[in-house]
Amino acid sequence: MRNRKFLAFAITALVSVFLAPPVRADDDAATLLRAAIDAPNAQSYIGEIQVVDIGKTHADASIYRVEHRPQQTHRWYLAPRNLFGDSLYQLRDTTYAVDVKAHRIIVTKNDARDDGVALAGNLTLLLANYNAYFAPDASVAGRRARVIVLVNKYTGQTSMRAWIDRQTHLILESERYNSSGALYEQTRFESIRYVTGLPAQTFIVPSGFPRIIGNTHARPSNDPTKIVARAGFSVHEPGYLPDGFVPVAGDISSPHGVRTVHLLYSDGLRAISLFQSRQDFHVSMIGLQPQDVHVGTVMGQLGSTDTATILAWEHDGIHFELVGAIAREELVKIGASVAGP
Amino acid sequence: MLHPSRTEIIDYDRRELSSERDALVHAHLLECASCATVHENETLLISVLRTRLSTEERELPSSILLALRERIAPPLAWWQKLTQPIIAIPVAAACALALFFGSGYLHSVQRPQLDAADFLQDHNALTHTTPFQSDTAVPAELASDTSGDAQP
Repeated sequence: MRNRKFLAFAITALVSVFLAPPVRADDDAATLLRAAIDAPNAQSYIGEIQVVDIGKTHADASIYRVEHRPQQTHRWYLAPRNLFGDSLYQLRDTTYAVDVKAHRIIVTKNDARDDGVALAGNLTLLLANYNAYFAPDASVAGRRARVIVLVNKYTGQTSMRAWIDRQTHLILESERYNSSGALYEQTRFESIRYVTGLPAQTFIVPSGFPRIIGNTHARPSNDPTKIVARAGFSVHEPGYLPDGFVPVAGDISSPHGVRTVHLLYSDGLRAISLFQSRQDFHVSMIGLQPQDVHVGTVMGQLGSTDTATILAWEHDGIHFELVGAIAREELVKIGASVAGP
Repeated sequence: MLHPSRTEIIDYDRRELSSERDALVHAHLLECASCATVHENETLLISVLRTRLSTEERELPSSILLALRERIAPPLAWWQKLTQPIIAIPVAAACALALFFGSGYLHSVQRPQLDAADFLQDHNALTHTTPFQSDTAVPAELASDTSGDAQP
């Protein structure tokens, strides 16, 4: 049933992407949101960004200078102080994290960054699950911005607020709210200057540092049914998902030799990952303030960062992990509903 | 006759002198008041000590007893020595520690350990297929630098 839903959704998404009539960018909120997604692929700029992650008891801020041209971004960290001088080069789907103090560059690759079709499809999903409203215009970093508020159709909760540059459609500021309505992340340009181009040298990764190959993520399948079929074992799926969530992507990986199926469920804005493996392993939750919880009839462990929660448990020889930026109770409810095929 | 020494008077009292010397000391004690007083004091002291010894049971110091037992007992075989407290207690403690930590080590060797951060990273990687997923403010590759507060 869910697979049929997904196919219908995918077809609708593709049709809407390729056959949608051309409309002016500002005609409505949906069109403006599409333009906002495309803006980084059309603009070059230099600026300074502040990101605040808000946890239960404290908030962490980071500030970095950014130089961007389509498909290439260079961040240079100013704060927190321990990161001062470190930088990040994002060149298409490859990231180079330059750790000056550790004298190394960690190279990671994520093909999911380069999946425009999936992105467009999930925007359609977002617009199916959220109402987009315009709030009064505002000014961010000296630029006039249109303000869009995304409200969940099922819960009535505001999930995101975006300040979109009137001229360039770049998102200048965004606020994200969790399912209880609490603000958990704010990203804002403190300053921005659009430029016609940036020299190629800006994006040359420094030499002289040893390079370490980090995680590599192949492009995920946008058809989770194929992933389930290739898993090599009976994949379990949740019987309960919050309203609007459907399976949108999946992949199979083997971290530390543990073959793991990863299914991603989303309502277009929020996302939940379900990992499962038949191999025995132990999940370390150091630093996540783990606590024991009942997941149906078994015990599991729940841990949190400022922006996401992870639930891990084992049942009938299968290890499960659920990850998402949703309420803990909701995550436990989803976990308890995970059953055999 | 010269006055007998204190030791000779004690030996006299214990009947340990030769018969000739015993006769001479006996004759002297009858004639010499000071030596007779010494003799009477020593006789009184010995009498008191004998009375105390007969009414109280005194134990030898443990160090003397151990030394006596070591001299009396036959030598232990090597396996018997292992049961001696001085060896057995440290050995037992070492075994307990080995079992406690060793079992955990063996268990962890058998069970791979995955960091929850790996799952969070994988989750973040896949969410790039959904709109408006901003990059993590501090990427995991640099996040280890931020552990602990910076000093002002």
